[in-house]
Amino acid sequence: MKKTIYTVQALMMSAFMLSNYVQAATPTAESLAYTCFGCHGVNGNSQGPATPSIAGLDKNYIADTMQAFKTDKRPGTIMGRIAKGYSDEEIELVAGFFAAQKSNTAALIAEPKVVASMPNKLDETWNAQMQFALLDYLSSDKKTSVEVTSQIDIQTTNPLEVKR
Amino acid sequence: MKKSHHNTVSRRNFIKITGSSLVAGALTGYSPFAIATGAKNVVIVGGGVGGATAAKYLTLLDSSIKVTLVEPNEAYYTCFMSNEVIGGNRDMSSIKFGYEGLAARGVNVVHDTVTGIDPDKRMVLTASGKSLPYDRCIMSPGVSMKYDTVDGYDESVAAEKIPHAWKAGPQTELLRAQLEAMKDGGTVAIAAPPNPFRCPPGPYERASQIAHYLTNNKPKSKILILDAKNKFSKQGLFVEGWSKHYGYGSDNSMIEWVNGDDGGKIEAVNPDTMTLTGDFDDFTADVINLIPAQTAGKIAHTVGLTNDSGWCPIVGNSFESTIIPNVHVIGDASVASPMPKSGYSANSEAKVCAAAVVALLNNGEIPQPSYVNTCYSVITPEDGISVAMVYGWDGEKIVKREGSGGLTPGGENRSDANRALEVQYAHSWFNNITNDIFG
Ligand SMILES: Cc1cc2nc3c(=O)[nH]c(=O)nc-3n(C[C@H](O)[C@H](O)[C@H](O)COP(=O)(O)OP(=O)(O)OC[C@H]3O[C@@H](n4cnc5c(N)ncnc54)[C@H](O)[C@@H]3O)c2cc1C
Repeated sequence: MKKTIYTVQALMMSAFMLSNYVQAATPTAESLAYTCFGCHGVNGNSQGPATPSIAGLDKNYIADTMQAFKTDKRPGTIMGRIAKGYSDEEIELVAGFFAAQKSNTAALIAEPKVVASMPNKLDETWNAQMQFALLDYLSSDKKTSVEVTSQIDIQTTNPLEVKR
Repeated sequence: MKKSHHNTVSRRNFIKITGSSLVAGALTGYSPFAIATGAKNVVIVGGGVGGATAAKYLTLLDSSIKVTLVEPNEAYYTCFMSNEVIGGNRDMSSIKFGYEGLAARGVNVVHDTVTGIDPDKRMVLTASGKSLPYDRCIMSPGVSMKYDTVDGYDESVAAEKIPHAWKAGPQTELLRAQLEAMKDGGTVAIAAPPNPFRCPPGPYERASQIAHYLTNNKPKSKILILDAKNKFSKQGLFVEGWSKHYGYGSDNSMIEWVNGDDGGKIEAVNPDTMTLTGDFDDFTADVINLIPAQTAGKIAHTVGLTNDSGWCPIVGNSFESTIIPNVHVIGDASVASPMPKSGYSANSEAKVCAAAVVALLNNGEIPQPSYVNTCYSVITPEDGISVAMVYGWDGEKIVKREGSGGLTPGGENRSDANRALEVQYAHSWFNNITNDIFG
């Protein structure tokens, strides 16, 4: 009897050691989101210059973006490596947290694709972050040539002047 | 740079207060009955990355806790981005941070040095003779240098002639001044330490920053990296960057790396002749940056928080010491592997620790933690690289989350545009994390 228990324990132990994924429980939204502040700013309000603010974005937009990074559907510099560390449930929690935060910047970051339809009156921080988001998107996509990305002058304050 | 005025943190649901304090107590050795009634006291030792973050998040998570932070210095200089100061791309003032932000949050900031603790009476003792009572104590004293591993090296040699500059401050400025004074065609020796040590990619980022400065100002000069190890963090990416920018691997390389097996381990230094002695050879240089082996901050040894490894064993979901109950250790001094000894790790650990301390002081359950680390290194102002990882808690230990993490793509997958962006992300990280710690 005792022997069996040991064997089962040994099996469980080895399964335990093989997997580096097992979590004891799901963290709260706050436990998860606090770890993002280092790059994205306190409560998702980035001080810039490049990392985008994510406070107050639409919950579905954040979750979809994380999923796109997780599944390599959206190219990116850092986030592809981070997003893969979270379960779908955790992504929903993080998205909910940041969606509920008050945004310091007037406008919201949208998909780089829809930049062209955005209004022109954006504050400077947002402008810079938007350009970086666009750059990240383009430069990480193997299909985009270097000539295209080099047309984006990150010193310009108006991303709408960017020609694609 | 714009400063955030909304630097408060949502804490709804962060801590689940439940009736299961006895369960939590049984797991951690915490005894709910020993806590006096009335306001709870937390004393934090060290106002660096870990300590300052813990102080801030304690005030945010439970404003009834009286938080005291003991730190000898009036200002903190971040090690991160100090390599850019050494390379000449950044001012010392931009890596300097004060404690006004924490004081404004109600943290009692005491400028003093902790000399010991009384774990039975739960008192933190200071050099000026204070006894500070605690219900829980959090230590984040960083690292101390093992000068005795290199003959001829000590604190005063480091302060005056052969800086380690592995704690940012006057030695950072000294090393910068020495590089500025060096003649073109001079040799800079960087002695890199054995594992484990603070900031594994740090010595190689430093070599890159110095190479960038020399290339533009003193192009006939050389950098000799004398390493105690045979391999190092992000090695492939550093070597690729050095080849691309500094001729590494060619006859004309500015950087030469000598590994441990080939005699890179340094046994002795002679400050008068500016000579380092390795296992096989002596190396003479015009500027020497000698980064010795490291161990947990001295106070952790004094109070008995370290084990045979010289570092502090902890339980990874609360960072409570496995040696002294009610004392938590975070940051470089703790054994938090697989997390590296980095500023991002110390910041992440401090938040987990603060949440656990608040839970324990309120008879709650220790929350399930989540941790992140991303370490950026700047090779040139247009070439940044990083290593990232998400960590979880499996009920016994800190684990890497499967699928997450890894390095900036190199080789065939290298993208110049991405590399330029990574430098901007590194600077964004610096702005955001320092605001998170001290703001
Ligand atoms: C060159 C270099 C570059 C780096 N770059 C990066 C990077 O890009 N990214 C990154 O994430 N990390 C980086 N790091 C690592 C990072 O700086 C450390 O991991 C981080 O500072 C650890 O935080 P800590 O709280 O453990 O220690 P520290 O930040 O060193 O804080 C310790 C504090 O404790 C105080 N103290 C010590 N003893 C006592 C006592 N007896 N009483 C009271 N106070 C005491 C000290 O004065 C100090 O303020 C770098 C390090 C170096 C050296």
